[in-house]
Amino acid sequence: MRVDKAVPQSIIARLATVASESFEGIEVVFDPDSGLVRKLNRTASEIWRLLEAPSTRSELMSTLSARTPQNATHIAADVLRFVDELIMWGLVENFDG
Amino acid sequence: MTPEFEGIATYRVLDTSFCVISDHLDLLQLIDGLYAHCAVDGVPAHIIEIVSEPDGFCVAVDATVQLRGIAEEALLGRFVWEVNRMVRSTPGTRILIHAAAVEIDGRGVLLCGASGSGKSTLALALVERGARYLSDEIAAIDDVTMTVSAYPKPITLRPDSWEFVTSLFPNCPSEVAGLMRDLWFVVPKSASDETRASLIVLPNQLVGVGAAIAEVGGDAALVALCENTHGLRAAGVPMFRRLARIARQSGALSGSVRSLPEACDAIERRVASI
Repeated sequence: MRVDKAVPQSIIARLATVASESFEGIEVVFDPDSGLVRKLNRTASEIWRLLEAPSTRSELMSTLSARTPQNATHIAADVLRFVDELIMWGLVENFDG
Repeated sequence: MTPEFEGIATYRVLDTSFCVISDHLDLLQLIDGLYAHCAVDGVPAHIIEIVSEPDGFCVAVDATVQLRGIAEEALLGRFVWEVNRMVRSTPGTRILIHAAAVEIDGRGVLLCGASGSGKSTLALALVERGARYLSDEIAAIDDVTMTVSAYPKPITLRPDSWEFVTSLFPNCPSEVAGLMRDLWFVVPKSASDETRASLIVLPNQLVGVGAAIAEVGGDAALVALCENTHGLRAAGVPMFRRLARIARQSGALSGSVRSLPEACDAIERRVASI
């Protein structure tokens, strides 16, 4: 079931129609339905790449925190913010597992 | 040549051909001067009619009225706009990007930005320094060969650009000066037919302070290409991938063109390094 509210265990999945291109770690995404083109920053780009496989917010936080444990607090906040932005832009969907 | 078009010049730009019929003889003469390098033999695909009416001028394309009541000083701008529109709506295999383009030392430089970003002024400044002109409005690119083809319309300059090209004033015969009261149209002194796209420049506004021109990534170039490509949404993901290929195969610069000599220096240096 698709949900609008941010639930830690809900699954985030890229919209199948949205395309992206990577330039030295920076992703540019294109939604053909809305015509939206966005350049993501480095952290959002990393989250976007992780979302190649649908993941929960918790999984995203765990994966990113494991890469740089010293920034775990910031990473958690970043994940929440960027996932919300991706949902707002209509680039990903939020599913209740 | 069919009899009905005998004596009427046909012009060809990219995949579009047209002729102009008007009772404003000065305008016809001026258009012929501005598009003389595009004259071809053959029957035009489109007919642009510009006729005087009691409350101004009427512009029709292929017998369909586009606008009535046009003031004389706005006529030439409207005509050029109609030609641009025809070019954009003519189907073709090349990608049409809203960008100026010049050739410097055999390498194509795209100046990609929204209206008012300074691309026409920068294109003219580069041509004045020896670059060869391709377009100031539409860069037509074959993304397989990376060839950018000329769309050799006259360079259009708005009043806020005139101060940068004072050396060109006055640039039209006095008897038709009224036709360039709102916009200037300049025929570049040197032009190219096509060249290989090698560099994408994203100029900032002429007015205002901005960072000097500097290297940017292909990501910035791709965003600019997407924002300035006609019909991207309709063409969808395949077009996005094609634009990404262009961005990946080109260098990219971005920055203020407030100082034209500095901007030209930076672009020419970058081209020399390719």
